[in-house]
Amino acid sequence: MNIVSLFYLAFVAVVALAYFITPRRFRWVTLLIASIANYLSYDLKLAVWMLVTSISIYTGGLLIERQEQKYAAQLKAQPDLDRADKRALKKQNERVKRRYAALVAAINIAIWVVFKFADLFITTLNKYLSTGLSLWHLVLPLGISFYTLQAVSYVVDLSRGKCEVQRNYFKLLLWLCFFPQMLQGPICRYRETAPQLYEPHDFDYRRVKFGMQRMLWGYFKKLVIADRVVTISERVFGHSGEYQGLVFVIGALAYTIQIYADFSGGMDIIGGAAEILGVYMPVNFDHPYFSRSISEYWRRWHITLGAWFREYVFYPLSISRGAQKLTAACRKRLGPNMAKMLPTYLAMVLVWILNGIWHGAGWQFVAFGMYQGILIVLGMQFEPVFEWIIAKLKIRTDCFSWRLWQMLRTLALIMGGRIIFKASGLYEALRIGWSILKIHNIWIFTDGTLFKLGLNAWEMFVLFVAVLVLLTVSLLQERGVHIREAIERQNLVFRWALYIGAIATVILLGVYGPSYDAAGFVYAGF
Amino acid sequence: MSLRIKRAVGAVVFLLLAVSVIGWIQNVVTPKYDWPVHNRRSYKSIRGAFLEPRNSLDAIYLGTSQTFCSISPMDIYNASHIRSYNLASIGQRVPVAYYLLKSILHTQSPRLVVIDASGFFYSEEELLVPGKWEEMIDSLPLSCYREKLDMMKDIARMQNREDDSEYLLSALLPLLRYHSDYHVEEDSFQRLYMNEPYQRKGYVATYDFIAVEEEEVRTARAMLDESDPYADDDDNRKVLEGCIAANEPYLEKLRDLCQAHGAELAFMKVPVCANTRARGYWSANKHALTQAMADRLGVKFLDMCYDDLGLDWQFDAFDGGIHVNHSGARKITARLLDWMQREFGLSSEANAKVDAQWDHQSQIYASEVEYLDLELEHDLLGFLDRVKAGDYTLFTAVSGGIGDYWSDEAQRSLEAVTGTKLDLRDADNGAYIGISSHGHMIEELHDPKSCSTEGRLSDGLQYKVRSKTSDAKKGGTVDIWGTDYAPEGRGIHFVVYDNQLGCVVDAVCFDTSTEQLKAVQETRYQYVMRQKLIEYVHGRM
Amino acid sequence: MDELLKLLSEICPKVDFVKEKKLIDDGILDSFDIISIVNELNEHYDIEIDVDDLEPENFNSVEAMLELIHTLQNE
Repeated sequence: MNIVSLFYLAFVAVVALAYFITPRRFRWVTLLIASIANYLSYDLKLAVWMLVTSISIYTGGLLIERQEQKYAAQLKAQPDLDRADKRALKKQNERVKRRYAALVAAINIAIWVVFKFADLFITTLNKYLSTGLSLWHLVLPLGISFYTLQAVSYVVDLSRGKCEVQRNYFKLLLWLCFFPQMLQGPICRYRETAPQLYEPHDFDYRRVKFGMQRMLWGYFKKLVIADRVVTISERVFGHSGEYQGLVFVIGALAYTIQIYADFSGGMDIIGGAAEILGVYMPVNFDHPYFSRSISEYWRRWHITLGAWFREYVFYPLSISRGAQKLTAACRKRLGPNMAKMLPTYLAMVLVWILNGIWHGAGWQFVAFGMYQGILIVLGMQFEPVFEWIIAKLKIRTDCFSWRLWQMLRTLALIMGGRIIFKASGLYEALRIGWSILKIHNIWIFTDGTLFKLGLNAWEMFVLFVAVLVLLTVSLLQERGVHIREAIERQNLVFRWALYIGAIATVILLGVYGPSYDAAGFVYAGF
Repeated sequence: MSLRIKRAVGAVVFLLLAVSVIGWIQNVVTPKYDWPVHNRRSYKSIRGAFLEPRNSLDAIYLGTSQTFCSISPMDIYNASHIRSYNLASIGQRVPVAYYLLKSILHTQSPRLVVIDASGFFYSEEELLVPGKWEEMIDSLPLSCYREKLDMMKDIARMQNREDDSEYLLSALLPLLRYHSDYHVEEDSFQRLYMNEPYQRKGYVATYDFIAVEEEEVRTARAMLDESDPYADDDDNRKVLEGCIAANEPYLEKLRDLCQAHGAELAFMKVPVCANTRARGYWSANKHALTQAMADRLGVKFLDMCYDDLGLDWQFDAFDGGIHVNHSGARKITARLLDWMQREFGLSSEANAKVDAQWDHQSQIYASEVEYLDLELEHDLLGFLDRVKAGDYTLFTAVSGGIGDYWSDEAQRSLEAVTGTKLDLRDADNGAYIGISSHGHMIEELHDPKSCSTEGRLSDGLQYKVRSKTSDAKKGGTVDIWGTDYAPEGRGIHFVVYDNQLGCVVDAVCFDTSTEQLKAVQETRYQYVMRQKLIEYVHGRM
Repeated sequence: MDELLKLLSEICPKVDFVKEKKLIDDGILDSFDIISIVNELNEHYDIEIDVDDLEPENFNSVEAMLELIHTLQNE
C-alpha cells in the first residue's frame, strides 16, 4: 500500500481504532492481522517468501536456544571443570550457535541475492560468455531488503546472547512484518521494537496527537517537496544529453533535496503511524545535511542501515582473528600504524561496497559505495595534513564560518555521490562530472532555463518556500527545540490555525491525485 | 468538565472544522462551468433540475449545446402548462445523457424523454474525452453517488485506468482531481451545492445575431437533400454508421431505462445551419441513420431540419449557424410543443403549489425575455417601439452621415421616442448626438461635420458621445464609464442604458445607407449586463 | 588504571578519558576509535574482546573498560 494514499490514512485510522478497542491481551494480534493484511495486499504469491524467512528464523531461534540449554546443562553436570576446559566448552557452545545463525543468515541472504541480482548476473554472463539466457525479471517481495537484514540481526543477536528467543511464532512474525516498516524500513533490532509491539498500549491523547502531527509533517515533506522536486531531478538526469555544466548541479541539488524529503518524510509518516499505536521506531535521519564530515554524514543518514552494517559486518571483520593476522603480517612492510589500520580500512571498503549494492544492482552502485568508502579513508589518512594546514594558515575552527565551510564541503561531496547514484550508468556519471567541472554556464540562472526543467515559476516558488520551511524547522530541531512540544505550549487558536493551515497546504500544494483532462473542458465540441 | 471530555469535544470540534475547511477548498477548486457572460453553464442548469419539486416534470430533454440553445421549457409552460426541463449540456455524449437521465429519475417521473440526435454521431474516440464526462460527474449532486461512480468506472475503463482507485474515488471527491489547478475563476467562490431553482429550466438564451454566410446556407440545405451531390468529406455513410453504432448500446439502455420508469423515449433534431463536421452539420445521411435507429428501437423521431419553422438564418443564428438565438429558439420550441402534444398527447397535471412556483419564475423569465427581445430586434421601427416601452436612457450617435434610407416613418418614430425636434435628414445635422429618456431630450447636439459632448446624468452616470460625418467606420462613439459601447459601421448608433439595472442593455447600429437598414450588434455590454441581471434575478427569486 | 589511560590517550589524544562517562552514547568515540582501542587492548592485555562484548556499557567510560578487561582476563 502506498503510504501517500488516502487508503493508507484510512488503513491506519481503522487499525488504530481496532487496536484500542481490542482487549489488552490481544492487541498485538490486531497489529499482526493488520500487518498480514497489508503484506498480502501487495502480492499474494510473493508473500510466501516472508513466510519462508520468518519460519527460518523461528526455527533457527529455537535451535540456538536449545543449544544454549544444552550448554547450561553440560556446565551443571560438570561443576568442577578447570578453567581451560570451561573456556573450551564455552567456545564450542558459541561455535555451534554461530553456525546455526550463519546457516539461517546465509539462507535468507541467498534468497535476497537471487531476487536482487539474478538479472544482473545473467546479463553479465551473457555479455562475457555469450550465453543467450533470458532474464528472469523477478519482482521483489515487499520489503525484502529490509526484513532480510532484520531477520539476520535476530539470529545473530540471539547467538551472541544479546536478545531473548521468541517462542511464539506469530509474535516473531509480527516483529518481522510490522506494517509501517515494510516499504522503507527502518531496520529494527529485536530488542528495540519487539517489546513495544507485544506490550499493549492504551490510547494516550498526547501520544496519538504527536503521532498524527508527525505524519502530517511527513506528508508535507513528501507531497509538497519531494514529489514536486522530483520533476527536476528526473528531467535533468533522464535527459542528461540535453544539459551541461551547472544544470547538473541544479539537478544534483534537486535530487539531494528530493531523496531527503522523500525518505525522511516517509520515515515521519511511518514513525507517526507507529507512534499512534504506541511503538517508537528508531531514528533513521538526524538532519544529515548539517554534517561536517563524510563520516558524520553516514552516522546521520539512514542510521539504522549504517548501524546494521557496523554491527554485523564492520566490527566482526575488524576485530576478527583474520584481521589480527593481517596486521601481524603487514607490520614489517607498512609500519605498525598503517598495519593496524589496514584491516579496518579494508573492512570499511567492503562495508561500503555492500552498502552500495544493497541499494541497487549495478556497477554504479558499487562505484557509489566505493566513492563513499574512499572518501572516508582519505579523510582519515589526511587528517593530520589538514590539521597542519589549518595551523599554518591560522584558520579558526570554532567559529560559525568554519562550520559552514565544513557543511558546504560535505554537501558538495555528497552531491557528487548522488550524481553517481542517480546517473543512468557509470559512464554517464563520469560524463556529467566532467561537464560540471569544465562548463561554467552561469547564464542559466538568468535566462529562464531554471523554469524549463519541468516546474514553472509558480511551482518553483512554492518549492522554494517549502524548502525554506523545512530548513527552518531542521535548524530549530538541530538546536534542540522540540517542535511538537513547542507548539503544544501555544494558544489554542494558534495551534488550530497551524494544523488547519498545514492540512490545507498539503491538500492544495501536495503533488498527488489522479490527473484530470484539462483539454476536455474547452468549449469546443458543441 | 473533566479533561477527557474536554479533549473529546475538542477533537470532535477540530474534526468538524477541518472537514469544513477541506469542503470549502473542494468547493473553490472544482470548476463550476458557470460563466454566464461566456455563455457556458452546465453546473447551474444541471443542478437546478434536482431542485425541482418531486415528480413535477412532465418531460425532459437531453442533448448538446444546440439543444440547450433551442428549447425553452418556460416557453412551453407559458403556452401549455406542461412542465419540462432542458438537461442538455455542452458536447453531451449519449452515455453521459444516459447517466444524467438515470440520476434525474430518482426525483422525477416524466412521461416523455426527448433526446436530440446532435450527439449521436460522436465516434468512439470522441466518446472518450474524459473532460466531458468529468464535467457532468461533478455537476451531479452527491445524492447521485451511484451514477457518479458508474460514470467514473466507465470512463476509467475507456482510459484503461480501472485500477486507479483514487481516480474512481475522485468521482465523489473532485478535490482529488482539481486540487492542483491553481487558477481562481469568476465562479470559483460560488457554492457547489446551490439551493436556488433555475428559472430558465436549463435553457440557455442567447442574445446575439450573427448571420450565416449565404454560401453555407446554401450548402447546408444541399446536405439535407439526398439527391444533391454536395457533401462534406466527413459526411461519409460508412464513418457515420460506425459512429452511431458506437452509441447504440447506450441508446438501447436509454430506451430500457425509460420503459422501466414508465416514460416514453423519443428522438428529435433541432435545426442547424452548418456544413462541416466541426460545426455540427446535419445531412440526409445522418437523418437516414437516425431514422433507422429510431425504427430499430421503436421510438418516434422528429427531424426539425426538414420542417419549415420560419427560421431566418440571418437573424435567428447566434454564432453563424451552429446555435440559434432566443428568437430562433422560440420557433423551435413551438414546433416541439406542437409535436409533443399531437404525437404523445402530452399534457400537464395541475398542481397548485408547483404551478405557483413556476408562475413566479415565469414572471422573472418574462423580464429577462424583454431584454432579449430588445437585443434581438433587428428591425429599426420595432427597435424604437421597444425602447419607447421600457425605462431606458437612449444614446444616439450618427456615424458617417445619416444616408439615404432614413425614412419618414423612422423619423417620426425617433421623435416619439426621444422627443427630438431635429430632422436627421437636414444637411446641418450630418453629425448628430442625442441623449434622451422617458420621451424627453436630456441633451442634443448637431453639426454638419462633427460634434461631441461629455456629461453626467442625474444618477451619476458619466458619458462621452461623439459623432463624425467623415468617419464612416467609427464615426459614432458612445463612451459610458470609460467603455465605448457603440458598434462599428455607418449609420445610426443606439446604445440603450437601463435606468433600473444601471447598465447598458443593448448596442446596435442600423446601416441607413442601405435599403435593408442592416442591423449590427456590439455585445461588449454583455459582461456587466449579465452580472446585473443575475443579481436582479437573485433578488427576485 | 593509569596504564589504561595512557594507552587510550595515545590512540585518541583529543578525548578527555578522565571526565567523560558516556564515550559511546554521546558519540565521542566513533567506530574507528573503538576498533583501534579494541585492537590495542587485545594486544596489550592479551585478551580476546569479541563482537559480543562491543556493548555501550563496556566502553562508555574508562572504568567500564577496566572492568571488561578484568572479566576477560579471569575467564
